[in-house]
Amino acid sequence: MTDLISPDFTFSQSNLQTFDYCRRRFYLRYVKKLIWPAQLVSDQQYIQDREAGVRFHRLVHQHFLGFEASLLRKIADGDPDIRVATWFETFLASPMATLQGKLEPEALFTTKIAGHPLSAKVDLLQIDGENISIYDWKTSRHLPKLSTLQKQTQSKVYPLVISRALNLGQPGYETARLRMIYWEANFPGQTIEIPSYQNDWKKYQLEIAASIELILSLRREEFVATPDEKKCAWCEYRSYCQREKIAVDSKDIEMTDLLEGLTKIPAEAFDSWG
Amino acid sequence: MTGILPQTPDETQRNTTDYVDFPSLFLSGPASSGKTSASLLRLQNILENPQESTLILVPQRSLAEPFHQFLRELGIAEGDQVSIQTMSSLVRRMISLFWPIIASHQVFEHPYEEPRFLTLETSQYYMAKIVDPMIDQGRFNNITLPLNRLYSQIIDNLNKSALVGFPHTEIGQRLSSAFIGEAARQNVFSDVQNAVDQFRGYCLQNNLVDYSLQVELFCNILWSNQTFQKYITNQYDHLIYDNSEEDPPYVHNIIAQWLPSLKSTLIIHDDQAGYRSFLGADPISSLTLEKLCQQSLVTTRNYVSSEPIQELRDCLRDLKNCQPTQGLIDKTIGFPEKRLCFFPELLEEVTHEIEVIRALPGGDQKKIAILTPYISDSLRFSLSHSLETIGVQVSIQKPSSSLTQDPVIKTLIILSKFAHPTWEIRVSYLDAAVALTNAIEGLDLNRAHLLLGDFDQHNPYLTALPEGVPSERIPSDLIERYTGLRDWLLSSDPAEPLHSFLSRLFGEVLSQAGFRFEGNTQSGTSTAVLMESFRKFSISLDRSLQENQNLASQAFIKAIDSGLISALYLSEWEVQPNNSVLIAPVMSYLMRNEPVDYQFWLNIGSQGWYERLEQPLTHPIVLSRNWQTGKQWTADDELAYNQANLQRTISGLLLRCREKVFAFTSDYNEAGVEERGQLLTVFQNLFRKALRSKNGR
Ligand code: SF4
Repeated sequence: MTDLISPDFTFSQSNLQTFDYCRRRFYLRYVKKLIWPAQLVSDQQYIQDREAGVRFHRLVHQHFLGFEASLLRKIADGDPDIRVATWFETFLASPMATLQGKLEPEALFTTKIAGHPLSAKVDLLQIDGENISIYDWKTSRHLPKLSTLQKQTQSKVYPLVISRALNLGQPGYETARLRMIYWEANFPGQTIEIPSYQNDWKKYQLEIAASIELILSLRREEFVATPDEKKCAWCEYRSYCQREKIAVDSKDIEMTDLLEGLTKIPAEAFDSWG
Repeated sequence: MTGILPQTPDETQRNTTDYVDFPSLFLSGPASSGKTSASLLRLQNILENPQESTLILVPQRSLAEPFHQFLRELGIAEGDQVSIQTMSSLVRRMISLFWPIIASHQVFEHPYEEPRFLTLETSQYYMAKIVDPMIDQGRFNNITLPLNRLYSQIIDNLNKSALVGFPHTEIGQRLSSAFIGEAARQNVFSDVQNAVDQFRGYCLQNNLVDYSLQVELFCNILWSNQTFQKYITNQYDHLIYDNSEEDPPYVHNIIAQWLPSLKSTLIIHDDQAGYRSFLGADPISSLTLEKLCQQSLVTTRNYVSSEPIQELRDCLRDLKNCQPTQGLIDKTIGFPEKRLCFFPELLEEVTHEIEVIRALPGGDQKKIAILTPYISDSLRFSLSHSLETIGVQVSIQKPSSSLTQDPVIKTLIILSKFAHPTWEIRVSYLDAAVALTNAIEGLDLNRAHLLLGDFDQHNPYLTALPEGVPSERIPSDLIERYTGLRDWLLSSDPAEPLHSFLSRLFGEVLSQAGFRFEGNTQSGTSTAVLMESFRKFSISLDRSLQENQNLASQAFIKAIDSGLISALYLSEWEVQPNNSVLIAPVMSYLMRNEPVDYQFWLNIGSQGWYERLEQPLTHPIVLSRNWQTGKQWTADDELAYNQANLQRTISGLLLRCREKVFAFTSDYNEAGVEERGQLLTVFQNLFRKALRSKNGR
């Protein structure tokens, strides 16, 4: 155990995924907190996609807050990116728009694993009697494969955190089931569902605890650069690591959510009003 | 038990922790009387119920540090059970999320389009668009002010109207009716009103949401809306509101209406504070919350200051009736050993005293703050340099810093100009040479001049980088680097958004081998600051400009050059090393709420210890809720204001001091001017009294 990671460091799917991607990148982003402003990709498309995705997520959030669909449609129609209105229309026409039960949009949950907080911010949590589902809205250009999603840290962290927050691991809940549902606005008919049960959560817990303990045990020099230099093409630190010079095009991207967890200048640094 | 909690809470603290028996509590008392510590114990109790959530509300982020530290010690992630916010951040987030409600009120010309939020800087940019033509028409002609200060004071008025809660259409009238002076000056207030009206109109036409509109929309539209109310009451069960006296009245109004729906509320009010009055803080309005709470407790103990310091504070609060002893003075106040004539001698003396303190047993553990009304760059530089020579680490808190003072940012701006010759912005030879030396490893100023070629005395400017002039005095690798940089700049696409251009310039050239940003982490941060500043600017622009990124980038660079976009408010997120001497402006220090063992008060002759900034176009008191509309602001009012301000400052500082204050001044200040302000007089009176009592008179 080294003291590089402070006891209050909150683990999340995004920083654990970064560790899987490259240990050095985890170190530079979350331990050294190095702001290195090199571009992730060479074109603006990726940023535009992401920003449009953020606005779509907000509309869906507003839908679950109880706003009239007609009002939200007008907002979607006013969006500078026409895809947002299309995605939102697709969403309204899907069964997702009429989910029943207790619905918690954009909710943050935290649990403790290996002595550290582990948090999950879910797009929507649905508790409908025995049925508990975690929804994740996506606006990907290509439909991800089930096997890819199953391997993603998110598909393990979210069920683990929610099962613990709802005490589903306790005796008496042996048959409890959680569904992780990925709904793609560009492929609405092809919802991907990953169910999990007590045994899975136990497995996830062991796996994630092991990752966290490994991170906690590493010395500075053990946060090594990834041997797979291809990955450096989508990393903001590539010039810092002297790996690559020029960003590649976003269409070659293998990994989504590259910008998540990026070390940024805090917004309040730009304003003096409180 | 965590390290930050009081080990043996007193009775008031114990009662405060009990959120069941004291569900709606107003706790008041001076700083350092254990109020925030008690609120942490209360929070700890609330946290025992993991189903319930708490909002910690503070007027300014720096005041939230004890809460962050507490959560860190408990290993609790912020945002789940506990959310720490300022009202401004809450307002901003809520407007964005509940925009459909605002849209349905049709206040804006394009209600269903996204709002574009303005920062203080981008507000200034738009205010300039309105005020500059007015100036061309001869308006504001009685006022001599740098343009950016003129814009910011008009914006300040608009913000005050929202924070205090009066119509923005009354600003000119309120200022004018309080003004005593030449009639010609009165016209300027109608110019202010005119600019304010136009600005508001422009914002509504273009979906621009400045700070004043954020507050108005939140108070007048969102707060009373049922969907919003349902959301906000579901979000938080408990409220802990610290330093309520530092918030403006609109926040107190909101809390007053919120109180009945919360399971528990603790409001903490610091007596004799209200340091942010220039930002609309209103302690009188804060006190109105006391009546609305079911219980009220008062703390009186001081957990920080030594007894002599407390005695000194009591004495200075009522100097007329106090008989200080020489013993008290010796224990609590340190002076220079000799009379100091010039400012550099003062800095030497400060350094010497700190060296003495550090050499005492346990001295290196003592916390020290050097405080002065303003911190100039030269003061910052000289003091940190002389302290570093004696091995003392320094951390500096500045309320804001100028983007263009940063050499990395300055270099990036100049190189951006060279990459965009169509902007036709001229760069002086000297600036170009400095930028090149900042960018290219191994290049000095002489060689940079050689590369730039002949200097034309009649036109000492460049709009593009010339081809490098070969010279035997310049090594070939330097010429290669220069040519590489120049070619890269010339090949860039002018339509590329500036933040993307900067990021590539950084990643593809300046952070590569042979250039000075290679492996230099500070240069990464500075580049990111400039990129983010542009991004904020760019999103406030209308769609046509956003679509023409070349024009957007040009407008941004011009706005920086003219000082409109200048400030970066680093102090709130810059991490201060623990064991260092803090150098801070007095007001910023008071708002950190962090006691120290020794305080050095520099320039005690300065009027900056109590006087307001010269603001001919606005007035924090006249526009406050406590000013009787129509009453004139006289010289007596100014005097009384200054005295109250000085009292509050002295008292606030001593409440945050454990052992001793060093009161230092030199005959001539930094600018070579003699100063004899009221704080100096206070000390002189104190010594005279002590001397008299020593001599038995
Ligand atoms: S550039 Fe490559 S090695 Fe360096 S942090 Fe990024 S992914 Fe890791």
